[in-house]
Amino acid sequence: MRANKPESFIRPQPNQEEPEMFSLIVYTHMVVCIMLYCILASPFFLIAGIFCLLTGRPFNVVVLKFIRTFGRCMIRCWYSVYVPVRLDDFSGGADHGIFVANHRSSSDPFLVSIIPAAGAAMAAAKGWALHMPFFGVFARMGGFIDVNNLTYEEIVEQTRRALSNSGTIYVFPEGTRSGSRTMAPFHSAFFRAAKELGAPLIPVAIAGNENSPDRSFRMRPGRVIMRVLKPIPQERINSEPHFRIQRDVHRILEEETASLDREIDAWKHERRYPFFLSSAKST
Amino acid sequence: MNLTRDEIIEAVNSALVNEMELDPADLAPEKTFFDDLGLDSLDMVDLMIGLQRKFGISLRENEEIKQVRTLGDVYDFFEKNQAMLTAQAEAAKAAAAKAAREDAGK
Repeated sequence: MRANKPESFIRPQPNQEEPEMFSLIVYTHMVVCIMLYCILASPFFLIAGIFCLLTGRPFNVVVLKFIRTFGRCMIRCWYSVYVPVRLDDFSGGADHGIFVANHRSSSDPFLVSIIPAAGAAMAAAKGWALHMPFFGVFARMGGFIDVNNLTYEEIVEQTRRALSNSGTIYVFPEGTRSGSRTMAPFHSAFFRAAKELGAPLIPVAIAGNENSPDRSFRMRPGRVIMRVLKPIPQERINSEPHFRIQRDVHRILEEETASLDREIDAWKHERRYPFFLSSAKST
Repeated sequence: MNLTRDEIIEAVNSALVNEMELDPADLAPEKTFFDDLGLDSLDMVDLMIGLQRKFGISLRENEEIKQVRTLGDVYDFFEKNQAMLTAQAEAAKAAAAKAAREDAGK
């Protein structure tokens, strides 16, 4: 059957629209994975909830751990089937603080969940993300920081609380997905907060996922490289103005993603597709 | 305070260079604050606080200043509102002088 399908379906060319069928398969797989995770995790979730109720431990930390495990499962069991993901950890063991990543695609929040960071990770999200059906409920329960509807003082206070509870926050200071290889300017709130709170800042470069999925949520196969970089020296955060640190992190991420893009471009000559979309060898 | 447009441009640009460490070569009227200069709303608040000090005025209640998008908008704002800002600055000066006299009287 597969041999009779048009070549464009089997092996899309780089500048050609990928088949809608590919997205359909990917998203069907995603829904199955979400359902399986919910079925398998819900008994543990209930037990953890009862445990927190009885012992008075913070429930939001448990929710954050479940969210993070969910992200990891989705990357391992779903996303990386179509888009292999490589994680380079150059952080030198930095595992808590504010992780600052560039934002090309809606897969970024899933991808950062595989970073080996301490505790339960929390993310800063835009208002709409906290009101999404299903996922939004858990994001609110976990105490994600709503960057659209809080004042700066409230963001600093929530960041302080989050760092002491969960140890780690992921932020995407561009504010929105770029959907391309360009990087928008950064918003300053978390750089100011890091300075005010003396929190470590760890840059994370993510490259290769600008089309996986794209801004219209169409999936294309590809390859992602995520690189956790050296933390910004604490004495710089404490002594220098926030905008200098902010521009420096922007420059570091721009240079790093450009270098990762070159690596990915070299790899694209050997694009691989899942077995059910292509039987031919890679070109 | 009766500044020419050039003086306003000089004052605003020096605030951006000194307080935000922006490159003077980047400061052109058509540049947008976020996309071109990388300044967000919090940076704008910092900038406005600096300009308030510089011009001795209060921009807190001003709605028009919240609408600025480009550097040229800021120049235009200060040029257009010279009369209002001058009156405000003089009133603030007079109030400060009165307070000083009262303090001296005590």
